Amino acid sequence: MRKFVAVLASALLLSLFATPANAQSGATVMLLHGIPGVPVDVYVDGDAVIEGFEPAAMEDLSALAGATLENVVVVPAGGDPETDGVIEVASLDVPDSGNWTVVAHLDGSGTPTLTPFQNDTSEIAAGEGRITVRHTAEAPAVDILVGEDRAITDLSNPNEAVADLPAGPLPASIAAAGGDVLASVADILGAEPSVTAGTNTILYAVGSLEGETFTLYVQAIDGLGAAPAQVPSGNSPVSDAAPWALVAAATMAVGALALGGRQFARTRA
Amino acid sequence: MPERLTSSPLRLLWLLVAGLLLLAACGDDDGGAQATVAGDLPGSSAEDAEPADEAPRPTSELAELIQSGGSAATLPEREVGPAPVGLTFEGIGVSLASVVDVGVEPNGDMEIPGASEIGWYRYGPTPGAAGSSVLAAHIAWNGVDGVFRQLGRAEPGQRFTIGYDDGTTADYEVVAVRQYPKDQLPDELWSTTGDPQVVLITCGGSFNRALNSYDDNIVAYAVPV
Repeated sequence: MRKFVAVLASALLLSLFATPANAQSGATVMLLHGIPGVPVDVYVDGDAVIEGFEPAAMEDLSALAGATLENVVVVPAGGDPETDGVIEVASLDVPDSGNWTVVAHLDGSGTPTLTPFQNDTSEIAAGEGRITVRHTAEAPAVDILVGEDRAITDLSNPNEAVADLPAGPLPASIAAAGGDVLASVADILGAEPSVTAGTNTILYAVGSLEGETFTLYVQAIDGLGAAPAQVPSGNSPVSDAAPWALVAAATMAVGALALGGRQFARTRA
Repeated sequence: MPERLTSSPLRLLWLLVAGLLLLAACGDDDGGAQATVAGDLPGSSAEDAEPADEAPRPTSELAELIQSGGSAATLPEREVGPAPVGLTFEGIGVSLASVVDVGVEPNGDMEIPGASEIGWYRYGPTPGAAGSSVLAAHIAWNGVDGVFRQLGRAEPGQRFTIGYDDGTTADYEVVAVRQYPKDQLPDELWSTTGDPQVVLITCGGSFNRALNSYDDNIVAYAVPV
């Protein structure tokens, strides 16, 4: 198994947000509602742009790639943006290249916030899949176990860990950092996750541990798999080449006769 | 008139000579195999646009640019579909050959089962699902002719039948046959999106005794009937 690499996400990535020149680009930008239990409306500069945004839903902001959104206010659904804002961002630069998920989530102390994560869409070796784990919950740092192995340690809000693994089942569970197992991923999601070849499967820890809304959301980005190197479908000569030669020669002879015959016929006509 | 008539035997002779030269160039003593390049490759399909219908949306201009991106609430459904377990392709002498699922070797090559079985690349789509489903088998293996010994003879218009593990079958029609150097297989063969196609792959071209392998791959492209 490859080494898991924890990446400091939020501060680093925010600094990468150059102010974009225009909104026409190849970026893919999703907005994920990562706060369980609270449908919200999103306002930009006083206009409602997303209403009734449900927890776990994603909105595709790709058409806004490169734009700067002024005065972004998130309110509980039906709330007044003037008075009920739970997240207020003076200026949000939507990335103009790359593949991103901007997550509305609770920070480590339970305050709603927006964190952009860049999704790794680099090519994945044939037969492997990518697992990304993002801590976006009001919860202490965690370890992620795969089987008995603490594959990821001390992952804290709002950071992520990424690894490419052989495709197959992923018997993962979540433990307090250095401590007891809290829950298996299969119990939380209702089914065991798998490492899917060619897919970046992104697990978001969301909600509040204390508030008992802690759960996992899942985003999948597929089509990243590399092709096998080669198809080695023969390691010895075929038994004999005769059938081939005969078929080819016969085909050529028939073709030649047909050509000759046609020309003959035309000449006579 | 007479010169026209005499040109026909000459032309015949020339074609035969050219044919023999071609055979000499292609075939070799080690029993190489050539595919006839035939047919048109399945057209590259248009992007499958995800229609995003949703609850009523606000009417601001900005809002109109925002599309639904689906839900992250549960694990994505993997609709793999039934797996292929058998293949019959009378046109190349294959009758009820068994199909097994395969992955990749440690060196990154596609796994290929023994001489008598066909490998289905399980990291790609099942035959008939969106994208390009890959079924590969040996032309010859350890001195035994493989189940795809005659794949190079496949021709556009021929049909074959795939049996699945749920008891169903589906027919596919060959639309093109191509031969590629081993290291130049098109990436599209492994696509997981686009219109369904099934590609049958074996080896071809000259047999390289030093490497114990063939120089080329023969690929028969087929589409659902």
